[in-house]
Amino acid sequence: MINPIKAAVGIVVGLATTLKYLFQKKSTIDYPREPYPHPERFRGVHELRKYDDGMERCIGCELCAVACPANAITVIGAENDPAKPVSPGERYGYRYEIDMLRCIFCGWCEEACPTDAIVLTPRFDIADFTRQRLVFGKDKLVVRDPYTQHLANTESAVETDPGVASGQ
Amino acid sequence: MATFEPVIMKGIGESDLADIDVYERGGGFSVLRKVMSDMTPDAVAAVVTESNLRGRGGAGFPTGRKWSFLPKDGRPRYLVCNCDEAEPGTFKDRMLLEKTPLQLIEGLVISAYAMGAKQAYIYIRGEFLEGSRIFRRALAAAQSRNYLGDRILGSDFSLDLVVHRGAGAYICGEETAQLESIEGRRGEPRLKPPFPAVAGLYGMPTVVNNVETLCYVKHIIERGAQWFAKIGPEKSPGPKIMSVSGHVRQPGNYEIPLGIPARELIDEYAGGLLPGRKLKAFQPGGASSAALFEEDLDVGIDFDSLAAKRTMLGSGGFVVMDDTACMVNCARTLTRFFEHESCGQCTPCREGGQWVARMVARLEAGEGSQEDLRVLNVINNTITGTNLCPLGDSIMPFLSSVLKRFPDEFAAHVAHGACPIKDVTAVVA
Amino acid sequence: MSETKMVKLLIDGQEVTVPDGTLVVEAAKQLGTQIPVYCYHPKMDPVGLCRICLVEIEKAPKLQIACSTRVTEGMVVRTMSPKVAEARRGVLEFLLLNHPLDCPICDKGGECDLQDFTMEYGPGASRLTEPKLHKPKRVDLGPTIVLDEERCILCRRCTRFDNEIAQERNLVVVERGHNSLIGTIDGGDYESYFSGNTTEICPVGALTSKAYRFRARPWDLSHADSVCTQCSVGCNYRVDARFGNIMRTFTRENSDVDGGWICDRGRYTFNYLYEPARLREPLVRRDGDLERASFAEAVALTAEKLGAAAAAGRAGVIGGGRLSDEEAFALQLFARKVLGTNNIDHRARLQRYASPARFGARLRDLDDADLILMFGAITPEQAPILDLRIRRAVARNAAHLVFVGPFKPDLAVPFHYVEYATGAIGDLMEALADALKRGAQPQGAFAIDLARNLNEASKIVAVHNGRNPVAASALEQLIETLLAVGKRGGILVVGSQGNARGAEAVGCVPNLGPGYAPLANAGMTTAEMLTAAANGKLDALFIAGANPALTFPDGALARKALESVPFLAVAEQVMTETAAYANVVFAAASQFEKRGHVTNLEGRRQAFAQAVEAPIYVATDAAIVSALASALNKPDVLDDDPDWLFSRLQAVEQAAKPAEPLARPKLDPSVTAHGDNLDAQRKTFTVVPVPKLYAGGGPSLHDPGLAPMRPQARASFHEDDALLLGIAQDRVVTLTGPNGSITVAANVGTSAAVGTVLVTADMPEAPVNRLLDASGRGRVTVTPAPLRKEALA
Repeated sequence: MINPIKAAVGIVVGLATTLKYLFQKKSTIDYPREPYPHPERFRGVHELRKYDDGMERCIGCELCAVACPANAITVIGAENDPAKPVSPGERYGYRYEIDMLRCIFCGWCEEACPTDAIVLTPRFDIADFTRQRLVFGKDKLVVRDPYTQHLANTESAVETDPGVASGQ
Repeated sequence: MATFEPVIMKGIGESDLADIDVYERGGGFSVLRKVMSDMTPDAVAAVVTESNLRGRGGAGFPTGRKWSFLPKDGRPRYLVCNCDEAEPGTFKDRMLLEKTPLQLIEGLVISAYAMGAKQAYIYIRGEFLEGSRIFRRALAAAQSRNYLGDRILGSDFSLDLVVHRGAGAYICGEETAQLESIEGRRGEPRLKPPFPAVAGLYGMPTVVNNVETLCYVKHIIERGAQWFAKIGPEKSPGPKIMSVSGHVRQPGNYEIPLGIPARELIDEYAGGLLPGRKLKAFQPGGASSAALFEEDLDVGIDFDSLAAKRTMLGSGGFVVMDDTACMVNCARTLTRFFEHESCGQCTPCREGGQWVARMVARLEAGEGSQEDLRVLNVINNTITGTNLCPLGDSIMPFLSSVLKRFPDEFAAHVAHGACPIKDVTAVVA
Repeated sequence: MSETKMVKLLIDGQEVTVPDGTLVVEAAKQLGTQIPVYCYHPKMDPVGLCRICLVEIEKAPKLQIACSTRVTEGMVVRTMSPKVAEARRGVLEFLLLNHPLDCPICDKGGECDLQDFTMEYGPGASRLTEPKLHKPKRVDLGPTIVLDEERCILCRRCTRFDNEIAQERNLVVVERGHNSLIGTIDGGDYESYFSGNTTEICPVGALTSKAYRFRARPWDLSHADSVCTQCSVGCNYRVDARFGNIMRTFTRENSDVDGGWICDRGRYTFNYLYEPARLREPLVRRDGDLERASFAEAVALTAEKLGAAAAAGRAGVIGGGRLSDEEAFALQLFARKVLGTNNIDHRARLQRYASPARFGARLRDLDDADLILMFGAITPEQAPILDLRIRRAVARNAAHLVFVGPFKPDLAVPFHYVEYATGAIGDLMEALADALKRGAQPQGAFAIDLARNLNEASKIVAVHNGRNPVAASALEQLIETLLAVGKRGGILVVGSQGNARGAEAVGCVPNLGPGYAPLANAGMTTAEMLTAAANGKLDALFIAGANPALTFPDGALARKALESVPFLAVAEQVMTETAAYANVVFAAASQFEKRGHVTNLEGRRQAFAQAVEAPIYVATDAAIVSALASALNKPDVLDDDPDWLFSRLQAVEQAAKPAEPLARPKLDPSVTAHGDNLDAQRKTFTVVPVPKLYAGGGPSLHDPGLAPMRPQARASFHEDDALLLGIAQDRVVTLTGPNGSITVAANVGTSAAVGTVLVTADMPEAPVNRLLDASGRGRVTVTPAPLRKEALA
């Protein structure tokens, strides 16, 4: 037999919990109108950084491509025109593509990069309608992302870039 | 003053021995006449072997044995006289070349006769411009009197001597580099074996002898092997010219009987140290040799006694440093020299030499660090003994020896940021 | 020869038995023990510079270098003792002191000995605390190479390669000590046919090839074991590709063929595939213009016209020397079984490549030959890697090199030059054979000289170009005579096209079937087909991988034939002079885009793998002819599968009974004339075409990698003739023959003989074949172009 009193108490307790949470801060957010708060070291979409003088950090060494466990990165290097260099040193990333559909956002590319060129930003919202548009080229990667403004860009090219110190 | 009667330095400074008439009047070329008329080549070689003459160029290899290595296969043989004297602290060959060129020619012809070489070369250091002029004049005079050339003194023996002048590379004093240079290539040591006695100049059997060695050959033939062998210690007999330089009253070349203590050379021959100074270190055998110190003053100056002290007689460049000398400064001078003169073939000598020179220069300038001292203390293992030729092995001995003896002086340079000794002398002055 | 003494030694406690005199480093290799080396290279003399190979040898007072120490009985070697490890660490620390460590952008990164050994034996970190020393980077060393002096570890492999192997003595070390740099002896460009090899033997990334610079990293590349088809030596190489595009080629040592080297023409000829000149789809002539068409349309049109001509017995097929063995076999099957004609020929002249077995020499025979006769063939230009063997034999084994020909070539090693007019070599050979057989004294000082050389030598190798049939058979006679008197030796015939020998072996000749089986009713040779076409006696021609408009000796005849033949189909990789005349052009696959076999000049059949996929509308020659066969209702005769073709070829070859001696090609009486008489009046000059490595009208014309090395078309005169004609160096002259003329700049010197003019061969801008007749000879008058005013001022 059901004890009506017990049942009533149960309902009251349950509704009390509901009532309590009704006035507490919501744990969901109104995405996308409201930005998702990222943990400090969240790994999202990549950015190919530049030096402060506008030179690209990427030297096209392909170490990120080799480190990538998902084979998502394609890099083709080329020789810098000494008169109009893209990056300090002799070589630059002529083509740089990341297949965001393949990427598992593990951050190994970041680890592998000898010039700190590729970094993972906390941005993650990259939904799109075609697969093609989710292969990010340099046009989408070489941007000054607001999320990476806190990364110091103070090191000079000469200090960090192999092959540069030779006074090219 | 020393009592030893000079042998090859006899008459130097008294008369112009480069003049053939003067030289002949003093008995010159009489030995060559005797050899040509009375002695077979083998007999000459036997006397030299018996005398136990050891090469005066630095390595101290027995001359008679060197000659005996020539294969008897009918190929042409060459004698090369090494007059590329470029060791800092050594200046004896230059004196012999300029003051007694005819004595050298006589010794050279006798030696060539003994080993059966019909073609000889003399490799004169590029900077010895005056010496080479004097030598050429002497050579022409000797040729005009048939001491050299076709059928010397009516015998069947002919010898042609080519004067080859270097272009100022220390490495060309190394025998195989010298051969390369004579052949017209970069002066760079060759891989041994084959040794020059088997495949030397132009691939033919070749003997390379020092100027001083060849000069002694003449006197050994003249006075006999026993005379020579009885001077000095049994294993390294004979007289030897020591070039004394540095902080002594009378720097210069002194011919000494091997085996006398270093103290005697400094005090008796070179007039002692400057007044009020104390001996700090000395190098018995030129820039390549490890330094010896006050407590070593009684060590005998000969090949074996010095080798026992982990240094060497070398070519006889006796450099004396008194207490005003900064060891770091001395080391900087020498390491800089070896860095500059490395031919660049072997990695340890080329790269290591350059690194050591930079570190020592930095230490001297007071910009060194403890890390530099740590590296300098261990780098000897990887530089010394890993090279093709002895140049690489010459970089470290002096530095290592003074670093071990005067660690405080080096440490003071680091701590002080400058040379403490220079400060002291500045105060004294 | 006595047997080599074997000695036993211990390396790291393991016993190994090797021949006396083996280097310790090689003995260790036999045990699988790696001793690191930089300066040591198995093909070159040890020099002992880098000191990385120091090992401990018992009884030796200090560490010894394994690269130059030879083994002795009972030697005890330790390659992993603490002392050795310390020395290695030291040497690596020194090497890395001022090394820029720009591995991420270095072309060698990933296959670099310095990286590898540092990982294995090196110190973890450098103790250098001051800035590194700097040297020039990006030094332009020549047309093919960029040098990075900072990365250089001065092992001198490159300079030694240039001195010892190429014998050119151009690369040297300049400066001294740690300032040493690699440079050229006169500060000029490093120009060599073998320059690419230095980038390969460089243990670090100091020497980088311009063609490959920064294009890929080693781990990106897919590898295909291929064989070079740029000349008839057949060097083995590896083709490295990325994303389906060829990035570079790399040696793949076959010591019997290439000795581990390849020449720059072979190494760098692949970028033409990505040039606009590359044919990517079939073309069909409509209203006078070649227009893009479908493969089916091209096949249908060709099948219709060829079929009709074949039915009337008026069809011909030219080509085979650029194809693989399988494809050449398919081509002759197509001619014989589908078109029903023996009119098939791969040659421009009457060359014959396969020497009867007892005359046939191997490339290896050059190594210990004591007399090398070069007849007509200019090996540095036509077979560079073969020339390396000659250079080594002459420089190292004191082999005697004799060049017989109409001009003095530029050879790297000393040689004896015997001047002999173009057509007269046959006479000389016959005279020499006579002299050897009967002891008769030949006439002329050089002939006497040569006869003496031949008598003194014990092993003689002749290198011939096979172009002059009279000379070829006279040479065979001479070698036969030499063999009869107990000497050893043979003949090597340098092919005009890469697979000429293979095309001959599979039957692309009018009088021989596959396997050299003689045929009862021989077809027409190339010359005959072109003559017939020019006279309107041929209705259709199919040309696969041949360019007679440029390479057939009588250019006027070739052009007339190609113009007047009613239907011409050409299969080519790039647009050529011949294809420009065609009604149908098939886009053919390159050697990199197919697999199969090729046969080199010594008769060695070598397999090559496919490196990349062909563009979609490009078909292999086998696919083209098998599509044609199907369209002609004979689909069973042919298949485009290389394996099917190869097994058929092998079956046919095994069944074939080659003639012994091989049937001589039919000789045209006009080409058997003995010798040329020079014009004593010097009104006319005899034309001597001179081959150049980078000349030619096909891939080499369009390859951007070869462009900097491409020669200029030149006419060289003897200085006496130049004086007579009033020609100075670089003066532009017009050479006029009976059928045409060309205008080129003049060279004045002594390499040309008096009365002759040397003209660069196979240059599309100035085709020498405008001046020649079908036998390859021609006379011209010379008119200097009027000097321009500015030239006078």
